Amino acid sequence: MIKSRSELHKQMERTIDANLRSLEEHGEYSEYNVKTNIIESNCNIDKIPLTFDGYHIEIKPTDDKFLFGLIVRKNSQRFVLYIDTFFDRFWKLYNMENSETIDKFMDKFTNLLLLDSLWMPHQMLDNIESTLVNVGFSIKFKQEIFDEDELGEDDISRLTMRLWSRGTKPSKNLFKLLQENNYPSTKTSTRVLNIDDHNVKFLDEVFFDGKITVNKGTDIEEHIRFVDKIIDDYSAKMKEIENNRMSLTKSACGQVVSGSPFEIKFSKNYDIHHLSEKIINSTHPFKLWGVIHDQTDDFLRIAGVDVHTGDKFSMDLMQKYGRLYLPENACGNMVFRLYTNIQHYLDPGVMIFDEHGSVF
Amino acid sequence: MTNTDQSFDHLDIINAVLGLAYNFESYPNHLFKAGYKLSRIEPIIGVPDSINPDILFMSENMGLFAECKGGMFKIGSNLSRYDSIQVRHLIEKGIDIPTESLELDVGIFGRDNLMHLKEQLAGKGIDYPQVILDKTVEQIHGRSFKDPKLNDLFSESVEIKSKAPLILKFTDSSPVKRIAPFIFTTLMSRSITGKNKFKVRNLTEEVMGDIWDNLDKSLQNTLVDKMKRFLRQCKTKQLKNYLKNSDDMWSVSIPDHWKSRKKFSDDCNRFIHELDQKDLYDFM
Repeated sequence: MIKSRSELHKQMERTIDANLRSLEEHGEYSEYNVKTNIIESNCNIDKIPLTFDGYHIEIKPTDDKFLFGLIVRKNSQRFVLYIDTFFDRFWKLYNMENSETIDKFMDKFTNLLLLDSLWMPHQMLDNIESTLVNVGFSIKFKQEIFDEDELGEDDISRLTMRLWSRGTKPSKNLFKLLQENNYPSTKTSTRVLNIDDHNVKFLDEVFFDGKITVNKGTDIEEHIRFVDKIIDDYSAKMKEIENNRMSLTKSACGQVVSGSPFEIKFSKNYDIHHLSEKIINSTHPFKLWGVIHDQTDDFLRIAGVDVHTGDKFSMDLMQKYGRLYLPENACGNMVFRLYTNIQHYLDPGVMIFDEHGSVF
Repeated sequence: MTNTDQSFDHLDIINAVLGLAYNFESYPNHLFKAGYKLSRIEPIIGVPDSINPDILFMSENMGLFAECKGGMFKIGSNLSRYDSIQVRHLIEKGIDIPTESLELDVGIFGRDNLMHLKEQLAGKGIDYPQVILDKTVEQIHGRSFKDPKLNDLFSESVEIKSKAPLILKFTDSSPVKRIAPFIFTTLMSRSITGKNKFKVRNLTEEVMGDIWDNLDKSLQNTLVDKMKRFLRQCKTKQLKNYLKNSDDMWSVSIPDHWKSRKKFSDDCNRFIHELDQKDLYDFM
């Protein structure tokens, strides 16, 4: 167990060095990759439950005030992650463990009350690519709201692909081809290369849920800086979103309404009764609950609760549109989660707007 | 009781007018397009006797008072006195003035009741522009707006394709069927966050949200009493499996499983449906 931040950096640096050598000499990794998971937190580290879903965790402080070791046990399994809480709203969890083990753990960990993963819609992954060399992507679209027999002839119910390319051109052109043919083009991950004067600083894969894997690297600090930039961008977007939260305050002269609702625009008309059944049944991935208190054939008004945080919200659903009202103090990550999951499971062409235009 | 509370319909009209100032595609956005933003809801303006408009919108060079009318006969006292409001009266109230040459105007907004109200208004010599918000939005009577952008926008009949946005959810005197959904969400929120036990006063405060601090003590107490009656009703009806109490200490228990949460929402929806069947709900 490492005791300081510099030890952690050294250990991660050793791992990427060993993997780089092994890749060059044997064409395969010698150790588990360095991975960072960014999660969204609405609590202090001492509020994390130490037992959940069969996992038992032990939190070990280090010499760094913000850095903690997390020893996780489940049955005979034992693995270690390191939590960096420097950004109090967005924690980084570093690990050099088996990917499958960590993915399963993160799935449960980010399901805890007041913790959540990131939910980056494909536009945010596109933005990440804009300053780096894009050498691949994943697309995963699965129609989960409507059954096959409820879809039109041209509707695609499932599309999964994973593409690696040498150089950015094939990746970009293939993606363009998908868009031009109206195929679901919602990226769930992107592979980016940071290259400087022919030297690869890192080849990272960024997933929509905030997981970032170092596939190749020469400088761990560059990876950390890259992760921090993703946090900065997500955090800035979160701020924009939370500025739209609505409140009613009394002034010396009447009441003042702050904030404004979001408007969701679907790419086509949907059966809203069926849609609402899936969105507000409190299950994964939307994790929203609600009651319908005003309805006609083509309009539903929902008073809801984000099951993930207990925050309240309101929503209107129409065949082509939705309106989302976030009250003061509600966590803005719900907007990311709702929008991203609509992209992944219902409508890849969905858009969301605030008063200033498209949110993403 | 404030203006917005006089009738269920009045709050709907207020929301219908407020909605025009947001940048929606799903609802007409005439005021947004013309550059107006919501400034105040129910400002009280002293001239020196007070006038209590429903809404004040402000653009870069115009202030627009919106008078929301739900009835067919009553004109109220505001409309004959708007001409006495000057910019200085807004300044006295601490309202930001965007330009040295701010002009003020008034619009009357309503539903098809405006067809009937027209004669009453004419009889009193009131000819402010009158805008109907029903299946369409359009100016139907009165003189032109002083702002040519508003004239252009409201002169054309535009279809309203959806219900108005819910900018104001309810007021302290809204009927229970309007408040009930937000009581249910508060119960669910408490269950999720483990704050299962509560006193009725705390629950009422949470449900009322932003409104609560603006209410005087006696009105707060009245609402707490209403909430007590409502919870007792819930406990004996659809929500009997979830609510318990011992005097004023209540607890809510909704098992932490999606099926249980689904059952709770079904029970709540059934209750809301029952409330919809009764115009005058006996315990409110």
